[in-house]
Amino acid sequence: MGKIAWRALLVGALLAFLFAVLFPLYWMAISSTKTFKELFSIVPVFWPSEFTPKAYKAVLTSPAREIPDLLDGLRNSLVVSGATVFVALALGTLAAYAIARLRFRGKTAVTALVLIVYLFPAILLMVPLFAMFAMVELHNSLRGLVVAYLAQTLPVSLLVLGNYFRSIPAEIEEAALVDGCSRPGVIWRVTIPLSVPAIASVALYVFMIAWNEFLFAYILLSDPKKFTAPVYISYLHSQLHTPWNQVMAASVLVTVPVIILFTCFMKWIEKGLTAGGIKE
Amino acid sequence: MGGPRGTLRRREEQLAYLMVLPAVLVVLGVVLFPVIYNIWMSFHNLTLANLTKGASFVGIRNYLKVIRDPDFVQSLLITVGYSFSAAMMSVAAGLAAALILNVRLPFRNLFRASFLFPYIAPLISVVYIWKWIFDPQAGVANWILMETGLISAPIDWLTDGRMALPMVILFQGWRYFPFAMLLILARLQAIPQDLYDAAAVDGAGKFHRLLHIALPELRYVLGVVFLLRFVWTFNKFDDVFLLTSGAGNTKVLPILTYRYAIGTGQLGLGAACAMFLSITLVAFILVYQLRVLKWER
Repeated sequence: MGKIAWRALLVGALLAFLFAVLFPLYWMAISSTKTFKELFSIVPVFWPSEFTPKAYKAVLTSPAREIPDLLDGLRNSLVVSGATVFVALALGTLAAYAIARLRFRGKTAVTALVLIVYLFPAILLMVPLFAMFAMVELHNSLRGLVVAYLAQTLPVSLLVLGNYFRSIPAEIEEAALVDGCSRPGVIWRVTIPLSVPAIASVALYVFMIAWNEFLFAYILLSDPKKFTAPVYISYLHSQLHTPWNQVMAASVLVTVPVIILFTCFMKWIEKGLTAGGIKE
Repeated sequence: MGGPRGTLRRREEQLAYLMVLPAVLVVLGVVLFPVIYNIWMSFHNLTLANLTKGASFVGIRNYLKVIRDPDFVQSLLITVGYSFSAAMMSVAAGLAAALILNVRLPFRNLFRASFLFPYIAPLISVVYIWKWIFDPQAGVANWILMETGLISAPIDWLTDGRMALPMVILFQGWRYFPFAMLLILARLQAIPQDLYDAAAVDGAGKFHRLLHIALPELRYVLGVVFLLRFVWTFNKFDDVFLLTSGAGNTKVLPILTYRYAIGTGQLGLGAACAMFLSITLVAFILVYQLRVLKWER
């Protein structure tokens, strides 16, 4: 093939990818600001004649106390995701360090446990967790949701952090120990500062999993005031006449935090995505 | 034992237990126990109604019931076919995207970042964007396709018996190609330039170099990415649930599991269905490792 043919193929493929990726993004943004008339017009409107913030106002302010709005959803999502990140990191860092560095009886068993639970197919957890939550009446509780998210994120955190701690040269820690630093002191002052990239990428990974999670939030939460943002959006969509501008506005508002996080911490997130610890 | 060294060792061991214990308890309680409980449930006639009243042992009756359900066989076939096609699609598109980004282009980093959007954005948003674009009444897709004459009447893309499954596959390919792209790109950029230069000196054209240098180097990463995508798609619940809720021949195994256990409260049947799913998956992974990735050598 000639050089021009190659160029044409390359540019064509690039444009096709850009269209496939950006058109949906564009369509979401534009639909969220359309008036009802232009939203449902027979000939689709690709550039609205007027932009209205109506849909955003509608999803952010509920008409009555008992009716949830997206603010409740975003707040619940933030609380649940934040708590999941905090617990997964706190427990994960401590245990992963001990597994990677300390000597204790039963270490082989714990290491094997971490690997085994990491390999379990996620679908095996759906039915038993549902039954367990029904039994202990953790139904409809954000705390219960955090527990369900830990089941999905703690094994990954343990594995990724453990691998990272093992890659830190032991000599650095030993030097600090010889200088009279205690083991907890070494972890706090030497290991954790050295592991900021790994800890940050695990934190972002766990946050995104919890922020995006739908299944467990959908089965466990029945009180609309406790809906997380994704469940709130599915509830918006389930109305008799789907208010598509509102669904799109809510989608924009859930997506924006993720895009901001992503652009700020691109390096770390990509590392987390490709480090081999990822699991869906 | 004894002496300062021994006490130091013992103190370290105590510290280790303190550090490991909380995580181990959580993992045992919310992962290992549920999985064992799932196995137990699959042999008992547990339902939401008799959850706390004690269910009785029914042997493999749940498994037989699931196998005899005509939905199950169809669902298994659909799941295998759809996981395979969706994994193939995301790997193929990921390979294409990686090859594009491997060329020195202006704004390469910008393109790369925007390609990641489908994978990074919350599932809920991208699903509803798709549902809106492919809405049977007011969707822009139907309008464009009718204007260009590609279809003559609007199509109900996500519930139509012929269209829904290809749409789900297309969605998966679209959403997960960036994952494949990242891994493939990392491998592509690790191929030493000398290899290409040597081939260019020998007079190999671009296409030739791609076929005989890049692809063989990528064989392993392509195999691994395909395996990961296949396994994850096989397990995937919420994508299909949100996109079609199982309408139009898209009732995949995770959806069937959900319908048994949560939809109708037959926890035992759901558990047995999840076991079938897992066993199929493990068998596939073992065969794949031996045959395709050839890890025994």
